[in-house]
Amino acid sequence: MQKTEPIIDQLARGHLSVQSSLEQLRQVYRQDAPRGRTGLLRFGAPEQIENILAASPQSSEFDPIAAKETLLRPLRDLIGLREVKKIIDELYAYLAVQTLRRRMGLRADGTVLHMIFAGRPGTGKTTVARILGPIFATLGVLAQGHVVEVERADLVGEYVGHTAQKTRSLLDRAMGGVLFVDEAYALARGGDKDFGREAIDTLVKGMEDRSGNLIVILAGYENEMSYFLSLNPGLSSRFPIQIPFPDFSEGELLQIASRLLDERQYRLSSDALSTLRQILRHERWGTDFGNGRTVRNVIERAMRRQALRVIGCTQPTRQDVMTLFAADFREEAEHAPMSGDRSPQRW
Amino acid sequence: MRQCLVIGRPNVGKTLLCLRLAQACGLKWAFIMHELPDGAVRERVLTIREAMAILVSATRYTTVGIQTVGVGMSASIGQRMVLHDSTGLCEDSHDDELIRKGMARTLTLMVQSEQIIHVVDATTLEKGVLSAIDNLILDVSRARNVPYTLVFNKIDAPGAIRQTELYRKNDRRARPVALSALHGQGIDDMQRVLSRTNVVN
Repeated sequence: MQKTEPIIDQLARGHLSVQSSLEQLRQVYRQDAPRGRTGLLRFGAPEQIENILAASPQSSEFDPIAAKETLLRPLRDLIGLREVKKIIDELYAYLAVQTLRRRMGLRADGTVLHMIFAGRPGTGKTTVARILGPIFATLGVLAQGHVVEVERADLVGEYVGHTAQKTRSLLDRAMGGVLFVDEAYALARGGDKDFGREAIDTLVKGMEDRSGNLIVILAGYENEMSYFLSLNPGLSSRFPIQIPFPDFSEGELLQIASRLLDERQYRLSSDALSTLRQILRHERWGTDFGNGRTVRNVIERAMRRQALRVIGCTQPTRQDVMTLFAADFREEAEHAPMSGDRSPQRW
Repeated sequence: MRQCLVIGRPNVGKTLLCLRLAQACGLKWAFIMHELPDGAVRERVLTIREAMAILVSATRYTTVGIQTVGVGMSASIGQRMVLHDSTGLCEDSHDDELIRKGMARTLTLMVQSEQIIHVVDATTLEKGVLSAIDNLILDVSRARNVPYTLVFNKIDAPGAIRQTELYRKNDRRARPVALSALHGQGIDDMQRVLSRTNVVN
């Protein structure tokens, strides 16, 4: 088969992981097979999906209402994002009812599920997209539910005609799953002559052709996204679901921090907690605050400082290697901010 | 000659299973073609015993590229077949170019071969559930609609039998053949399964 060759070639060059190349091979063989639920749960975050698999019966009828809690648990486990969760709850309910209707022989029309995620960097847009893929697959909306993450550079080509080709091949790769375009507004950046426009047009056309088995999610800053949508009149109506990702509040940032620390088996001394709170409060007012990402970077830098401190003392105890002190963070505050924990330059 | 691919993750015992099958079919000598990922081909004729000593070890990636073991199963299976013993598929050595090419070769064979034997290390199952890669291998092979045999190796190891039973209960997609290539236990079952799937039309 000619279709399989490029996939294997990409694996040989190291562009694809073994798992995703196998996924794509399967997609090639499954293209005309009916959509179903069995065996499709393997995508996205594997450790979460193992749980779902263990919880849901393999062969018997899939009950979307009973499975709701298990399926949405990865989403619920995210901190904050109350609005996002609400919208996705609604969506889930709707899709679940459609599944039931189909089973009862009623009409269940496919809906357009293309989405816009508008929010600042680090607010969890990519994370939510990765969770949504498998959920849609389970509900039978998508055949595979894998998530293909792309950005401007992946869609836009170097010469005339290249863009359409590149975009189309990405759409093919995302077939049966979710195409997640990060910083989508960048496609409209270059003005009229830019190939970004061509990418948008190809994308829109491709979405129409593949409607029903592909979900496109555009992500980016709120203001830039609304400008982007205003450029092409057809665009905003094609993305009926617009989900805002608000900035995290101070409390949520601290929750994120404590979850991160828990995961890595670190602890904060009591003075460190208040220092961290101070730092986060300070960072939050910065113009280019990276939300969750900033939290992670602040903590990781503190961990490195702590490591430096611990290595200096003789015979560190278990307590020593686990605890972060305020000093580990405070150095941080004096330290000039590095570009890494900032969002990319605003457009 | 039927082209049969032996596939699985690294260090599940693919090579040893190939040699055991050859042995079980009454072969004293194994004709081994070693096809390296860069295209070079080495041919060796070894006795089975020698081959086991040289080609099998407990470290990962003893087989890089494809080893072909011709198995003349004419007496017991009614058809000659060629076993292609492949590089293990695994995510974490993805940056090693040689192994990556070997894995790509494995996938090429996976789409071309006429029969697939999928080897799984029974001790690595968790609660009777296959790992992600194994699951995908199973799905792709089934989607291709070629004869497919799922083999649970290392059944002699502690806990392996329990995992196999759990798997049999959970997953109805394939019926695994449990064996231990190390001790040659269950190889005759495997032979029987192969002869059943391998009838000349």
